Amino acid sequence: MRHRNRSAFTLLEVALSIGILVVGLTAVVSVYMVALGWSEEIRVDLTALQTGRIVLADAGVLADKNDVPLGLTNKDSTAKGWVNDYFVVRSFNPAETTTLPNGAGDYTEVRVQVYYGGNDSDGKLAHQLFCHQVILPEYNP
Amino acid sequence: MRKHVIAFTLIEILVASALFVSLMGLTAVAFHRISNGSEKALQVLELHAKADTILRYMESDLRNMPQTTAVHFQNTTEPYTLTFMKPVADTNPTYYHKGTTENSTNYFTIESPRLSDLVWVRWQWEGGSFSRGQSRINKSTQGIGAGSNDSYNVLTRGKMRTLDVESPTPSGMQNNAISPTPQQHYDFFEGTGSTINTIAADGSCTAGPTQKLAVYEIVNGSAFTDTNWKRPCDLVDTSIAPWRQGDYTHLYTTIELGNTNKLDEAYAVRNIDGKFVNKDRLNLLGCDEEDGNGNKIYPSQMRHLFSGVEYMNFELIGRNGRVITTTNETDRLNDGSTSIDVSGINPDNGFGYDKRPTHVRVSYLLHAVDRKIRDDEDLDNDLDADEALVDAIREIVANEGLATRLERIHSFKRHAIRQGFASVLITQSVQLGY
Repeated sequence: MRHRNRSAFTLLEVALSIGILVVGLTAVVSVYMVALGWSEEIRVDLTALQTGRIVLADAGVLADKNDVPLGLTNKDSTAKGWVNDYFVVRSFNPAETTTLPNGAGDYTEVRVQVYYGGNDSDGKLAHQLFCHQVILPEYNP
Repeated sequence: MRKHVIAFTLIEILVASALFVSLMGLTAVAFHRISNGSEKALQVLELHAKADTILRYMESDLRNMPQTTAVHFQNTTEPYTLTFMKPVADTNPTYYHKGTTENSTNYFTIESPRLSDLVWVRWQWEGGSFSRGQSRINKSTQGIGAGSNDSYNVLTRGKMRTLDVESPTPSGMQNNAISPTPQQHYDFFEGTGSTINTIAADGSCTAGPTQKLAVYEIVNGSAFTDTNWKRPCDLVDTSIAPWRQGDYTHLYTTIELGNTNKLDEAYAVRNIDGKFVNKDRLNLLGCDEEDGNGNKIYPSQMRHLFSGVEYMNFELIGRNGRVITTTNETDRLNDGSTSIDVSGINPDNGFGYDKRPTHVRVSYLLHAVDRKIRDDEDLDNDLDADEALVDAIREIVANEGLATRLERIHSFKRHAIRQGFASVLITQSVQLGY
């Protein structure tokens, strides 16, 4: 007389294997989500730099949250506004500005700070740029 | 003998099924979210890459624009256009004759690259498409001579008749025993003029300041060269063109040659000071657009760059930081508020610098909305829910003031997000060359 062996999984084994499967899937998905987050950071890095360069050259692009131009100028020692969904602060120190001879203009170092995810108080500083500029005497937007 | 049965109990099957279904459901939701999220992220990446490409394209043109050449700008009705000049170099071999006569001792030679020329560039936005066009550079190879019956045939694609204004004696192309064809210098862009005058065979012309001169097409190139190897295509090399020494107008001057066939759609304009003849930008070949006076605008051959640009706002910014309007333009075209045109700075005295733009400010909407998406909510209130959503957004921002346009663009952006598409409103400011 032969006895056939009965083989099967118990409920506990099934539940355990499902649990391991879920952990594995979660790990894969998490890696993917982290990679997406990195690509977003890279995008912010590049576009924030480009936006900073634009504001360095032209403060007039600064706008409000609805993209309506604020009319801010190169002569504003501190100008703040939104450009391309970034909050940008453009500033220079009047005390460190040199007035050029023969009415050629003012020579100063301009700083631009680009914030992501909020304004200068609650956003994250994405980029900070500096450059020396001459602000023309007739500049009067 | 008892048979052993291998099977699951009903409760085990039900529990396993429930677990399987819930797991599959979670997986499906997770992958759906990941798929949408990654597609959205890729769309935004693509839009920003497109914006960066547009910016670099514009910078490569606008930062090379000489301030001594004209700018034309129109942003009131479509197509919005920005037309200006920039220098280019011709890298194609130039085939010309080094000698006064064509014979076995005077040979043709090839030189490359040729010196630079100024070409017209136009940026245009119309119907959601952003395009760029550039005029052709000259292909003249003729020399300027002092007058001779010697001649030779050369290949040329020069298009306009010229007159040597450095000397009262007309010189240039000729056939044997035929009077030399006149040659002329051209300065770029001064005005439209009002009367068309024909250039006589001896080079004389009755055109007064700002008046138009008829120009002629090359048929069979016949010309002779001066013993000093002067070439009309020389623009900036004063050693080859010594007549230009002390005259830095060569920076924006070119010379072209023509023959006998008059071209009805092209003409030059004598400068306002009566000295030089200007190649008015309105009157170059190949154009088919007209300004308010019926003059043709060049270039017309546009190359499509980007589609899906449903909204655009162009502004020229002056030295004073203000937007250049029709109240502070040069208006050589004399078309009032239809468009804005600003002449180049006069290199002799610097006049005109106060009207020149220093920046071009541009805002535009980029999106990833498919044309299959319909305007179900009838955003433009035209009772047409079958039209494409992107066409509807273009219609609702056309002819609106800036604040209204921006409000509607933001409304469209929210609608696009609900549909699962990305859209960005990009603002850029390109600094012009000095």
